[in-house]
Amino acid sequence: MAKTYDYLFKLLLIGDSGVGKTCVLFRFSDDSFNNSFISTIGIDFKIRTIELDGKKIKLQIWDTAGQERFRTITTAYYRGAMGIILVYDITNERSFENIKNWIRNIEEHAASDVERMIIGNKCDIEERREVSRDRGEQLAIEYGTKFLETSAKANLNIDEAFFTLARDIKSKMEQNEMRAGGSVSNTGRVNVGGSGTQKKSFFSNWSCNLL
Amino acid sequence: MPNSSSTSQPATTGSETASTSYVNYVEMSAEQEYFLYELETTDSGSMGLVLRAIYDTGDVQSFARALQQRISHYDKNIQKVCSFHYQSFVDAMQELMKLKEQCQDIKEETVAIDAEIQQISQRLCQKKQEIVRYRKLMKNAKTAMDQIAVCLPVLENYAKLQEQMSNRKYYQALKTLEELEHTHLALVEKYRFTQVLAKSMAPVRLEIKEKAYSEFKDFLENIKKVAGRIGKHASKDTAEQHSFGVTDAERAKKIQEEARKNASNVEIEVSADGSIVKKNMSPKRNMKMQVEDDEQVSAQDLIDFTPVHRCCQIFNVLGAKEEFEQYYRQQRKEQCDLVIEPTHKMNNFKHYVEYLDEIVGFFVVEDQILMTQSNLSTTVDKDKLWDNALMKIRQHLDARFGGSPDVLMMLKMKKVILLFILTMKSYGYAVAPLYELLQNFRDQYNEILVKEYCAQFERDLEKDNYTPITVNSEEEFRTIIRKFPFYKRSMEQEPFPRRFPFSPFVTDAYTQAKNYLIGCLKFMDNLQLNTSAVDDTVRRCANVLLGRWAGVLKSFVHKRLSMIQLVQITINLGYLEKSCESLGAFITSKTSGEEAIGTTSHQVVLSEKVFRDVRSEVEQQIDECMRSKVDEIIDLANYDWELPAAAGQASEFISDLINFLQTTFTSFTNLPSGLAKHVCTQTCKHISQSMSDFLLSPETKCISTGALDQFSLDVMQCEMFTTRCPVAGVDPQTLSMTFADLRQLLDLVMSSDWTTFNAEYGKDHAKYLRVKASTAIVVLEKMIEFERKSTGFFGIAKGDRKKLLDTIVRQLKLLEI
Repeated sequence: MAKTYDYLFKLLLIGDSGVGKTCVLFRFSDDSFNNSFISTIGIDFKIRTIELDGKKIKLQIWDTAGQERFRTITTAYYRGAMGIILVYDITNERSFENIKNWIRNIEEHAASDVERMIIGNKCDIEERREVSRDRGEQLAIEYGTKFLETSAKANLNIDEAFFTLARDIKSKMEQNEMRAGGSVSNTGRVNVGGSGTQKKSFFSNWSCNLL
Repeated sequence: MPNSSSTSQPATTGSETASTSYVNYVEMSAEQEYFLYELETTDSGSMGLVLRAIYDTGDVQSFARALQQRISHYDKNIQKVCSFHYQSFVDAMQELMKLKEQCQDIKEETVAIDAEIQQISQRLCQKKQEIVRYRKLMKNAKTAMDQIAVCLPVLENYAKLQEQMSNRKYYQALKTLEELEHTHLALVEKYRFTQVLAKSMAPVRLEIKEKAYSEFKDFLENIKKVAGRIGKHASKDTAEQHSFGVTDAERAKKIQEEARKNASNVEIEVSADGSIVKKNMSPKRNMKMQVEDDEQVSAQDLIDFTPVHRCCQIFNVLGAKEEFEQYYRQQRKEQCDLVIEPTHKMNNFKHYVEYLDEIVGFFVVEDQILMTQSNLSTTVDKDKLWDNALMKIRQHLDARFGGSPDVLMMLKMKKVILLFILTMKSYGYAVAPLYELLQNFRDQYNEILVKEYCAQFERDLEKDNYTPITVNSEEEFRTIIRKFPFYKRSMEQEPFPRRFPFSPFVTDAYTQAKNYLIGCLKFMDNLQLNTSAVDDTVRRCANVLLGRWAGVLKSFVHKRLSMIQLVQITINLGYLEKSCESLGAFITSKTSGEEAIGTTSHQVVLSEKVFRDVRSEVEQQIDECMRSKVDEIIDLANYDWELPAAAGQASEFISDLINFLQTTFTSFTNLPSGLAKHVCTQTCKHISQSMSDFLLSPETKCISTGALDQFSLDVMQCEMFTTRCPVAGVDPQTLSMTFADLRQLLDLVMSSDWTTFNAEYGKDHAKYLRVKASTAIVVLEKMIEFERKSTGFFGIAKGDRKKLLDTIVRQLKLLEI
């Protein structure tokens, strides 16, 4: 079968139940929003092809159920993920507090070089905000990840989040390819023998703006 | 005098003589005798005839002689008589001389008396003349008085006429005029003043006519103003007679009974029922009060019908009865047209009530006039007027409400129209077309209801969370149980939180269904249908709704729904089907109440089968959904068909696919067992087919041995899934068969067991029974192609393998034939 893409990136969405993981994914893949809250069962995924610097990149994005009873079953998907987006709800303090627990899950089950990003969703509901942007940014700095506030409902920063993550993954991959002598792996994955120091960088200007 | 006496006597004597002579002369001829007799006896008129007869005999001389003889005879007799009476004559003369003297004396004496009387009566004559003059005077006076007496009634009546005209009493004036013309004036026509009167009375008749018309127009205007009130009152009467008020009382009573039944339920509900009772009592009391207030009002009280009767009488006397009748009908027709035509500002309910009240009032008045003045109009005329009006009323109501989406307005209008129908019916008007109108409205109303509840149904589908309802307390649990008739004994002992199998959509839909049925019942209230008919109709309405809901679900399901939604829908459908029985009981309780508890009758069965089709549709969509997910992952397949050696583990996309299936079938614990088995089987079949398509695809030109090894590893991974399938009740043997074809093909090609294949081809127990020669050929040809490319690069050493494969292909083609 002829390949229809240059790279395949597997991403994972994790976070508490009800923070809007599925809505974020739907906005990105289908550009639609469903007002009713349908709780995800087990696992789901969407595939969308984007173009980055002239390369066709197919994003396979796994959407996990946030409920406790699905916690064990969804960890099987951590290992295959190249990028993980941790989602909290700015109107739900507890979901923000639990980001620490989700980080711990990643460290336990995911590849050590997985790319990570934290997003605070539902930023359009300003009147019910419980978590300030500053605290979100502080947490991201603490864990050395990118940070964005988003709104799946208002379609704010959704594409930015996924493109940023994809760009970071692609950048790292290309560095590894150069280090490996230019050999290209068909699976899009290269396991690096030595662990390099992860560069910590983020763009503080990337934030949720409501006009 | 004495001379006269003398003359008489001779005549007598002559007769006697004649008779005697006849007897003496017998010698004369009989004829001559006859002639002489005739001459003596006949009158002078016949003399001519006798003489003619004499001359006709021709013997005149003879007759003359006879005649002479007779004359002589008579002369002789005369002389005898004279001689005999001479002495008496002389004596008489002497007496006369004496008498003369005496008379002279008397004459003188009389003259003296006369002179005396003349003198004495001179004054008397004078008095007599005076009396004559006075008498004449009195006569003239009496005549004058008599004539004047005859003239007086004329003058009196004329004055009366003038007065009546100025007092606008036209009928009395007309009667007076008629009396004047035909009775009194006839007697005094010769007088000049009466001619002047007659001339001046001529226009009075015209004036009366015009005034009568004018008064009638005022009457028409008056009834126009009052018609609305009359109609309103008539409608109230009808409402009272047909127990509209009592219906409210009955409803209140029923609610009280229901409240008593539900006494064990929560306090809130009891209070709600209580408040409902109060709410219903209040309108009843108000209605009674209104009836009492308006009890005195009637058509007779509001309208003075005298002008109509008076006009009839006037025109009857005027001899223009038909003219007036025609005028009346024309005017009433025009007035009717005006009443029937709604004004442009008919934009709210109140206007329509007033509109119908006006119509009722108009026809009540018409009926009243017909009863009291039957010659003015006829039943035929009235019915014609009504038929025409009825057609237009129906048109207007249809035009206004034919497309109305306002259910509440239609309910109100239904009640108003029904009251209108009953009112007109009580006055003897035909109302069948209006019942048809109401039936059309009912159908339309039901259609609107169905559309509304379908829209709500769709909204409920859209906003449902497709998650089983979870309750955390006994109170929440009871709330759900009340909304939806779900009973599971074990559930009441479960600890909290408890989960119902269905999502909130089910309770919402059930509630909506009940509300819809109540809505249907509202329109049939007071339509005078019996309980059985209402029950049947409502059940048919229920079936219509269920059928429509099934349609909505079908189209909804074809949207891009997620697995979660589809699975929950199929579960929900099961409970909706079960709820049909409860809906049936609900209908019975609403239409029959307690009365029908013991009744066993054939009822329209609520159709739970309508969901059967949509359920299979949903299941099909679940298959489709799963298949599309599988395809999305398989699209990521990235086989290197020229791979030199296998990686030693399954391809990444296969691992992801198997993980996905494992997670999904494990997580969807609410998927019905049968459905889960079906979906799992169909999915495995689909994966197998897709893998086969990879291998056999014309796009794949060559396949290396290494690629085949990798492909085989992938199929093996799928086979492992079938043996460890997480779906309960699935037979691993059966599920493994979905990959059997592929496995046999791979085993055959990879082990090059062509000898066995060729030897056993077509036999029932062949080792490679599932492999077709044509399929094997396709794979072999791809392998040959790969060998051809490899030979080109790596030398002659592999030429022998190619030749071998070519030989095998030729043998297989023979098998095909």
